[in-house]
Amino acid sequence: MIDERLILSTMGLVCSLGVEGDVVWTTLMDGSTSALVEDSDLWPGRRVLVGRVPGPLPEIPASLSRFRCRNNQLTLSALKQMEPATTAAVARHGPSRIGVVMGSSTSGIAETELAYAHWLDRGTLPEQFNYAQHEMGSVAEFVAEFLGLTGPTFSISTACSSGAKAFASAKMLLKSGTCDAVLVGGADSLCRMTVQGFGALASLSGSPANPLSRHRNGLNVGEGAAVFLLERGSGGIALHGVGESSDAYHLSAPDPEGNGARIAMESALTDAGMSAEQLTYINLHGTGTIQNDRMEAKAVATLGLTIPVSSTKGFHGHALGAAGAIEVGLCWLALAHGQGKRVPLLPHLWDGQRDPDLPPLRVAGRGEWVVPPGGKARFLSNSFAFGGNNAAVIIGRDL
Amino acid sequence: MTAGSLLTVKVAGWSALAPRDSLSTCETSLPQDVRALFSDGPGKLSFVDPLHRRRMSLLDRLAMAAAYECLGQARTPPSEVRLVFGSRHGETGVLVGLLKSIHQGDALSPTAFSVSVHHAFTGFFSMIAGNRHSSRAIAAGEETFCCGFLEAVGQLMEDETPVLFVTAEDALPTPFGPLVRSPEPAHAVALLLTRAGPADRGISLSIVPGGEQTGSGWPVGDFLFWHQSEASDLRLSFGARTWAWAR
Repeated sequence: MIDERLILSTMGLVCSLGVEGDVVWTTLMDGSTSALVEDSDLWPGRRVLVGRVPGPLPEIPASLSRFRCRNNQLTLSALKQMEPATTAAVARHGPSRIGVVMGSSTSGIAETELAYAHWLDRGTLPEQFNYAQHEMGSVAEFVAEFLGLTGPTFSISTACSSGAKAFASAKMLLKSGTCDAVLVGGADSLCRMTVQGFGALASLSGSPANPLSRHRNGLNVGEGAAVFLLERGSGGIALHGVGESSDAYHLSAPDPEGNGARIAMESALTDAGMSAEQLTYINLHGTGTIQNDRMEAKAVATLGLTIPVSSTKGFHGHALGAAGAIEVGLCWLALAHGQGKRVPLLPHLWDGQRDPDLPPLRVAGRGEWVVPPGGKARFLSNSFAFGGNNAAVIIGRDL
Repeated sequence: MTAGSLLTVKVAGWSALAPRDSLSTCETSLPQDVRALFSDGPGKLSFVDPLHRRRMSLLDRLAMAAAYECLGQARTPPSEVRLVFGSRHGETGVLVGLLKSIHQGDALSPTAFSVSVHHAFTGFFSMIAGNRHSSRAIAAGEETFCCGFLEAVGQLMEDETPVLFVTAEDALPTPFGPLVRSPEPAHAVALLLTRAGPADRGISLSIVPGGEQTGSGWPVGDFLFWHQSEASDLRLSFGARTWAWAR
């Protein structure tokens, strides 16, 4: 095993808050309202709030037309933000030494919905439909093809923990010596399947998600992509640890006691060689559903009630398979914007009405900055998925 | 040349299941020697609570039957392994039912939506086995088996807890089957991988760039056949990469 520090040296990010990392940061930190928008197409007959990425997205190059789908356009939007760094990495390491691990729950399902409807109505698939748009492995394969990479390339698909678990596999590729760098991240796109699916589960809220509130009543589906370049190095923002667990409880509801979530966080701390007291901040999975927030609050409380926490999902929506990567991306931005010995915390969008049945977590204040002891800023981000599939990622920066 | 210095592992147990006739009717021509390695499955799954069993797709049932047969052979409790699940096509069979409902404007079944996720099998396994360890579900096109094997070996390098690597597919539903170059039959293969000890004839995996397309078009079948043979190495190439197993 190669025991060197792993650095998230560059990142590209796109979500409903913006199509570029710094824009996302400014919008998140300066705004006090949600970026969610109303939609009446994804669930005909109903108006839902979704986190849609604004504006036009880059076109997929003609040479990669078989991958043409919104999911890959979102990924491309993130990759274009990284272009000087990825070009240098390929020159430095060689294409066969760079792997790709991408998390997703949708891949190009939105395009598959249209293609299947075309087949039902006319007996043929649309001429432009290609299976590569649909299959899950293509989320990673597209990245590899676009950048000309030939290292191990695969997608992780565990629903809402996909984008977080991708970091575990990427770390494995580097620690094992299989790769010298990995493009790691996640991408999910809005589609009827997920909006109507969560609607069928009565999990959607008609308002922006209200995590930890006594009035919380569900989530909002979002979309986006975040991609990182992970390589061995020093300085900068490091990937310190990843923890995982399974609930062994239910297909779509979490263990109400939060045992699985707690084990994932504790595993991440062990992997990072640190204690909970050394955490600067916890980015909650915080979907705003009754069940998630109840169990997550219990789990987080076991680590301590003084660690600042927040969920940003009310601002940008729950990007499902991409959420883990996007929210690690928001943590990355916070660390990158640290000044001197201080770092900003991510804001929490809610009505301020604490649920008395939940442990009293310390919710980060709007515009709050902290001074981590010893200058070691450590952010933990949670992601919990169907089937009780849990992941926690710790990144950090020595200020 | 690129080669990972990966751990030598041992296949402590394995199982290969396919529904009767799925191998002979598959469009991809599969050698008889490979087909002979598969037993009829999934069987009744009497160890699974009917409440779970009725929600499981054919893919889930095949994967579960293979997993338990493999673990039983290796005398390893199902609760004591990490899980890597590899499937190229996942729950596409469940998905098309939902796509039809969407097109017709019908309400989606919440249960069907819950089990349409790519990693549904891992959720079932966790519940049925009482397993709280990590599980990852991967997809990598034609190289899904290869990447899943790499994932399992990599995990064993980090920690010696055995890894149950299950790969499974269901036949692609209409109209998607003709879109795939080498459609696979419905099947599941489970391998229990552990670190190889000094007395074991372990298996190493390396990856090198390039290579013309080789293999039968069914990597897991090629691996099983090689594993049961006396051949010293197996190379499967996919254009960008060649995967090489050796013992």
